[in-house]
Amino acid sequence: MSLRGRTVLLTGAARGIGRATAVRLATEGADLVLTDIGRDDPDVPYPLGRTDQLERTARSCREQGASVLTAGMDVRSQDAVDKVVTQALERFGRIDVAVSNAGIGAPAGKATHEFTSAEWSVVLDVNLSGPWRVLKAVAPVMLAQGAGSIINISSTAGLVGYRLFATYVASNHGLIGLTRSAALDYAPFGIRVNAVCPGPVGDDDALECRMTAVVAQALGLSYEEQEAVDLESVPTESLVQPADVAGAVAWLAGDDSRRVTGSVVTVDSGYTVR
Amino acid sequence: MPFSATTDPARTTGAQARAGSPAVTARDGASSHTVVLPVPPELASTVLDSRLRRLASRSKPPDSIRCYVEQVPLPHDDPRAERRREQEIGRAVDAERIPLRAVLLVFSDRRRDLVLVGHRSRVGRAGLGRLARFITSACGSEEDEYLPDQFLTVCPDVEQPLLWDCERRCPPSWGVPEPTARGTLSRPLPAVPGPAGGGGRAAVLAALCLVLDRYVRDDCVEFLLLDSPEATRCLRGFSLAIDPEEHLSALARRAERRLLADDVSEVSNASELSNASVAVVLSQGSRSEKYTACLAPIRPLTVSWEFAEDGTVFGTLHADTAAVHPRVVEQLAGQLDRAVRAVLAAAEPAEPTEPAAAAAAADGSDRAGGEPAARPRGRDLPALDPPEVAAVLAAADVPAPPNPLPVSIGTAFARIADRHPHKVALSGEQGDLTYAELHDAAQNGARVLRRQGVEPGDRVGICLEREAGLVVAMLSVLMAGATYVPMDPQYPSDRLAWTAADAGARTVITRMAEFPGAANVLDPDRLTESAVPGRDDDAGQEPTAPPAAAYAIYTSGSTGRPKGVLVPHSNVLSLVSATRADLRLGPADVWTLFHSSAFDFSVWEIWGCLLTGGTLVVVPYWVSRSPKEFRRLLVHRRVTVLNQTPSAFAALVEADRSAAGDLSVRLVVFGGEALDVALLRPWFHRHSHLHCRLVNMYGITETTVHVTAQSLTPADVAAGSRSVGRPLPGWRVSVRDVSGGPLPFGAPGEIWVGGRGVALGYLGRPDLTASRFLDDPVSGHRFYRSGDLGRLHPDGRLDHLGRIDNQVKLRGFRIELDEIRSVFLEHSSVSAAAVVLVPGPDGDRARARLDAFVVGPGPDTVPTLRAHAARSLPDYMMPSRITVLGDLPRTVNGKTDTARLVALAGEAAETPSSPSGTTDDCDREVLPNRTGQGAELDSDVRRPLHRLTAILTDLFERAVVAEDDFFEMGGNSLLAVRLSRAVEQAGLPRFSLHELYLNPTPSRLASLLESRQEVTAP
Repeated sequence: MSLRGRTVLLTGAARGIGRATAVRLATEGADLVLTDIGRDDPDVPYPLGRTDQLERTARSCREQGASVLTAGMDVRSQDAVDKVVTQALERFGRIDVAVSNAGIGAPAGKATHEFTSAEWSVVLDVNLSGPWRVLKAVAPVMLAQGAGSIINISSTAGLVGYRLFATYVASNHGLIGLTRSAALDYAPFGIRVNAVCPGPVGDDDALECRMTAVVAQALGLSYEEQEAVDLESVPTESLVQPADVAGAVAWLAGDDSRRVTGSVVTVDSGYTVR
Repeated sequence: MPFSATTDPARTTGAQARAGSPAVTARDGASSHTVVLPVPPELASTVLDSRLRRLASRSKPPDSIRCYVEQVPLPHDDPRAERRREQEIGRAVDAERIPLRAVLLVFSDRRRDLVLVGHRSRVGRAGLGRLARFITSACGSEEDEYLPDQFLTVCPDVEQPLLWDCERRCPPSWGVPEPTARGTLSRPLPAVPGPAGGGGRAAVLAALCLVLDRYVRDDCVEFLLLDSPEATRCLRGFSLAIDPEEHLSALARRAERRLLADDVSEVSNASELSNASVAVVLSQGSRSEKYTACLAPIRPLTVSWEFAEDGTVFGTLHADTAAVHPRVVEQLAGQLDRAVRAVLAAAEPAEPTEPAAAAAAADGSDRAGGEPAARPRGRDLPALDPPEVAAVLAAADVPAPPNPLPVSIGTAFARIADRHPHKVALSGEQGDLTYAELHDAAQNGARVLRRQGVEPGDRVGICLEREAGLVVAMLSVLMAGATYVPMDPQYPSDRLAWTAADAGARTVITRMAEFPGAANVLDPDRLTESAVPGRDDDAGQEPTAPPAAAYAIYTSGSTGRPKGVLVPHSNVLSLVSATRADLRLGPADVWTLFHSSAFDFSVWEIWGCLLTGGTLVVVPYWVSRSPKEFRRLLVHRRVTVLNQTPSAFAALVEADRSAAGDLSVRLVVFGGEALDVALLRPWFHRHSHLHCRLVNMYGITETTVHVTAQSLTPADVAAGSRSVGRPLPGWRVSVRDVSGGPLPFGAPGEIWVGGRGVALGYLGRPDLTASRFLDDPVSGHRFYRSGDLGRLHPDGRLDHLGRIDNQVKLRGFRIELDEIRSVFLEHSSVSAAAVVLVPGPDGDRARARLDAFVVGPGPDTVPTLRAHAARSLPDYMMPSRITVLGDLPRTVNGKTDTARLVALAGEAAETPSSPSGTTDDCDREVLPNRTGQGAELDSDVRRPLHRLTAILTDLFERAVVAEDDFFEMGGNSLLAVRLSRAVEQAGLPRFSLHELYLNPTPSRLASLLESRQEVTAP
């Protein structure tokens, strides 16, 4: 119960890593403000987090005794983010942790020069500008509190390159840069900013986690082929599970990591070590 | 700058900008309060929903009230649901945006709870209750017409004094928190049945005062009182003088009167108490509502009491754990529970409230009758229950290391000498002595002494300067089985004569041609110059049965003649055994013999060194008096272990600032007097604590040099630590109240020392021994009562707070001289300081004053220093004079010579410009009449008001006007007695102490006396 009495704002909470993280933080005693986009987008070639999925996450959290506020929120809109932060403050009086988890893995599957301007922009807008908008909204709150933890979910694509994924790789590298700079800005004021880099994450029906399928689709592979490629690439011979990422987030959210800022926590089954 | 204008980065820097510390919300939390009420099952959700919706829509300003309905997919009694509720209760609101939040929790078993959180500036306790009952009322119609304004009001007086600056707040000195602790803590007290109708309010306040009195050494216990939050004027200061002899019933009545004294001055008191470390919230509630008076402590310690309709008292302690240790909170909870029960029981109206009985009770006299058991007094209430007593005793009781001790100092030394025969043991001006040589010399000396007729158990005087012969003489005496009595040749001859006679020393080893009054004078050279034949073990007449005394050191008592403290061999051996491992004492060390043999710090220097195989460098007297020369010696002789009194070390630090040559010192041990860590600041600028460890050791001659040890780091200096550390292994410490009862953690009291260092007693003074050394009935251990003031941390560390008698009383104020001294030492220019109480002419206490002496600053900085001191010291603690000296006068033992300072102060008072230094004299002038009320006094000089103000002006030595409060001016019961005597002498009617409490101003007292005059003197 290391997060008892703390309030967490979490984006992309409808499913997958977001849902696993929400439930984990709920078991640690946190109250939650959970958001997801709640509709599909013509610029993104796969289904996005739905409202009913977000409510399913919320229910799992409430079953742990957490108080949960849910909101449909597009991280591409500063107004939307600001509104949610205001609601969160009215409801809970404080925001201790902000987890920017919302992100998209596609459009992808093209050589770098082949991406259209719109394809480039949508991935950057969600994956890089989104976390910046969240930070922009919560930093004043945390400055006033004199404390806070901001956690950006990046990817091993923030550390190494991937063929045919320039949009995704560029946005995640950018997010690590954002994390490091912000960590320096706020270190004297008790606000920590860290990033988590999951490697290839296995799909999980219970969590409605479909990351491998999305990547497979982008590369024109079958799910089985993509999973085989992923398994081949990780030294531990097992893929990262969403709960593994949730564990890293729970640590960065709580006081056990009080001297950790600007760091990049890699949770990748050893993918990037070779 | 990346920060928006809405936050001021300066406010969030520093210590409180730590992960998890809720800075801003702490303030909201302190001002937020919560009511939880179950919703009756028959109330339809639709009705409830529409009530909540209407409440939200009608809030003014719009949207200032938020209502939420939350489904909790858990049954009402599930522990997770309970946590959910607790979390909801603890969520603060903020005054500007959302002063009220209503949350309806709907559980899976269809039970419902309404949680209302309100900001105290907008809604009071009763308002919250009314609103909660209104929303959940089962019988209300759907058209309930109400306006939120009915419940939300503005209570402007509440908010302003409640605002307290998290960074500038004063943590209570008794809080003894862990340095890294943070967070808050709530601890409910057991519910206690009380009288219906709010009669318990005074009782709980009286109980709190009784308990807090153990923690504050002050005349009065005071705190912020937030009473009846519905009233507009509800925040005030509350203070009560505590006399342990007073009956609890009388105390409760006094508290009641204080509580009812609802005049305007009480409100202004609240801002005077803006630094108070304790706040109390009293409220009237209902058993069906669960009320939480604050969501974060209003002050480091906040006590809330809610009284139900049937009188049941629900108390809760709220604490900021960065300021108050959780164990302190725990012990406060136990004490409060017992005290509340006791006061409530005593206050029950079993006895008639006849005025005479009440007056007698208020006077603390027994005349009103009643058995003592039925009429308990404050002192009858033990501070701690048996498990807590056991806990405080265990915390500072450190078991001895399991090593068996040698039988005597001589045997222990022989063993070391066997191991390192050729190592240099003693190094003096005349050359070096190896361990083997020193051993042989001492054996020879012992035989010489035996020839002179010294028998085992005899006491032999040693009156020598620091020289190698001194150590030979000591060891010879010990090896002869006798006890040495060290005397300093610098002492006046009649003191020497008196000491030798008192000790029964027939033989005195000295270089003095004539020793006053001694039967047999022996030159130390005779111990070694003539070899006395004999076997090695011939001198082995050493004691075989401890506790034989190794030495008797004479310490000056505060009154009368010096007394000889008899310390056995085993104590010295235990001391070495207890410190050897921690201080890593060994043959590589070089020590100095710096201190007079008559000062027991030298016992540590000599035997700490020689029983661990080190080399002892004898420091000649003239070197010991010159810090520069002494530093040169430290460099030259590569001294590694240095023992200093803080006063001497301050001088050495001065010399070190400008000196060349690297020191080899790896360990500095402070002893002999209280250390103010501020003086270490310049030292740490030049020397890392990683290379040279500084250890502050608290100890007393009667407990064998040292008792506790605390390593010091720059962090301790920054924190102004007063800790002297935990007891040494084998020693134990306990902090006791005046009647010998163990005190809780954090509470100041007398330091008692037990364990392996306790001396045998005072030589030939059985009565004195019995009064200071006692078998403690509480612990079953033998203890020495030190007369020092201290407090215990939960981890067994001891804070040394000075001598108990270093607390002086000036014009009714209790003043700790050490506290004033610390303030001066905080100033960067000051390297040493002392503060003394200078008695008035002919010992007139009323005209006594405080004088400060400082070393370091230039004469022109005195006004700066005065301004610096005035920033932290209340007026009555400001010294009348600040005198700059080149150095503080020191006693033979190297401690600050207070008597000389008092004499200096006296001289300075007689001559306008002091010959000894620069004096800033600013005896305060009598204040002009502040209020202009003086005019009306002239109408009739014989009127009581005029005479009273005149008497009070005399008493306080300042202008007193009709509306001055006797107690606020520093009046106390003693001054009240003087006042009453003076009033009687002036021919005015008599009054009682409690009448003075009720009528503390000259004008009110005068009207009382006038009314009495009319009756008694027609």
